Amino acid sequence: MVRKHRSLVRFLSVTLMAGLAVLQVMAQAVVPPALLGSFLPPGYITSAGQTSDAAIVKVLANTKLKLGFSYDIAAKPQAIAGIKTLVLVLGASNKGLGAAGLSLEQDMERVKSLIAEAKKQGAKIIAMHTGGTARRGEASNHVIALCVPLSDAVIVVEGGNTDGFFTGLCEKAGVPLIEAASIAEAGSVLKSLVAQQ
Amino acid sequence: MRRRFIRALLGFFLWCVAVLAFADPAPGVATILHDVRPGRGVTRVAWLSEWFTPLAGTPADTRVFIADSGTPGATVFIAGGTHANEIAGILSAVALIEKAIPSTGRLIVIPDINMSASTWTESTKVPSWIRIDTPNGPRFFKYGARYTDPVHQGEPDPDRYQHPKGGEALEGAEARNLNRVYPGMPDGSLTERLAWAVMSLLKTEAVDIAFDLHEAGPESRLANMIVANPKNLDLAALAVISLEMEGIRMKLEPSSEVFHGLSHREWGDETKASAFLIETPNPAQSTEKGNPIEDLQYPLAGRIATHLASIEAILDAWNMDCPPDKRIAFTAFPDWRMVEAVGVGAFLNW
Repeated sequence: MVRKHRSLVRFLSVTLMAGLAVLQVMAQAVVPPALLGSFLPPGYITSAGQTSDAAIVKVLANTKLKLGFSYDIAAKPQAIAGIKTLVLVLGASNKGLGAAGLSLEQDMERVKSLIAEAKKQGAKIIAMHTGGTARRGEASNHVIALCVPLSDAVIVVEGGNTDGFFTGLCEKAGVPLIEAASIAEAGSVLKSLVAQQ
Repeated sequence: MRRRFIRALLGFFLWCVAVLAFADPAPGVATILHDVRPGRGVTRVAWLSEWFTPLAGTPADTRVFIADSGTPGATVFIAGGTHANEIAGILSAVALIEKAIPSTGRLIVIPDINMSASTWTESTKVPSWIRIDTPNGPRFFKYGARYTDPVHQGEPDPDRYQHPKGGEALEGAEARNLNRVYPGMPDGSLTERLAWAVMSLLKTEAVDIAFDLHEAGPESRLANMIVANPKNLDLAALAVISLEMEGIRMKLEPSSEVFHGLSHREWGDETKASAFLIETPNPAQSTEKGNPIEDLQYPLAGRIATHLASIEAILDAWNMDCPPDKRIAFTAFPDWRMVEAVGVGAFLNW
């Protein structure tokens, strides 16, 4: 009787652990194999819309993941000379725009010229959205709609795409979309996209 | 013999009355004395007027609790009660005074930094006092107001408040908002003199990291946010990432370039301190005036846990990159997970 129960407990434990492992794998962001290591350094991080989320991505990429990307929240085209990867952190912030002395329209012009410069020099573009629903207002949506179709990959942290806005844009433009459960996971995705030197 | 004894007793009584009637008021005597029971870490209790003498005896003077490890390290300053209705900040500061013990560096805490604001309550829709149950019985904390008491301020509010450094003119009552008047003025209004005293403390004590603990209405953009002076934005960004891994989602904003008078802006600009402001969502600050303690979505314990976790995450980020002689470490620090699970009462002294 005791033996029978022991076997049952063992079976349940193994099943539970296997289930948890499967759940963990399922929870991780799925990166298309073709994208792994397909973005080259040197990289440059800037915002599209002056969101302070760009500072979080900078710290994540450089302090935590040691990618060594350059950073300027309001970078101009001349700053990205020679780069191979441009990371655009998406989100409009009135406070950020005010601090940079820019209107949303002016910042969108800056971003358009950055993207044009990146394309001209053969650099690839990663768009990242880490701000969740807080960075999904009308102004942010304008920024997202501008940048996503022109990107080579899009990383979105959970909460930012609950309405399928990113999914729709990416499907229409044929841009791969990677959804991450957290900012930290978005960082891991970013690292996996960048070729190790 | 008996008559002589009674005369002596009467004489002593009259002497006591005379001393109390004619003596200078003790610092802060015009205010209420909040129930703060310092823990083993606290090595000195001072009054803020020690850093700016003219504040002595005014309703703005307030107690300063210092926990000095005796080992060189960073000096950390924590202020609760800038807005005395933002109760999670006050109780987080009290929990630190009662339970934190630094092993390296120094902790300076003012739980009721705008003492005048804590003496009154602005609305009848919010409690005047809140009760916190501890394993040894209940304790009571004042639920105060956002602004300095207009009677204490000693001058009528202007039509519009204009910060001396410029920026947009604000509603007149903002002249009594401590977090609009930094760095203050030595000969200004009571609120401006209070701000000046805080700046004096930050400079004199060479504070390295400074926190101002706040709350906002749950619907406010500010709820669950860390605001950082631009010079220390990266530290806050690192903390936001760490907090998210712990299941705490905080937004991040740098101080505005044009909005002057805020603690994170002026503390960071005018002193060497890395300055942060932490905001949690207080239901009583919503338009519906919810319950500030027992709200199901935003219970007080959870908000205090967020404050403590944010402070811890920022200090961890600081320690990652600071010189060896500028570390801050603790042998005891209120565990935010436990605060969230069992309430702050378990972290208050009997």
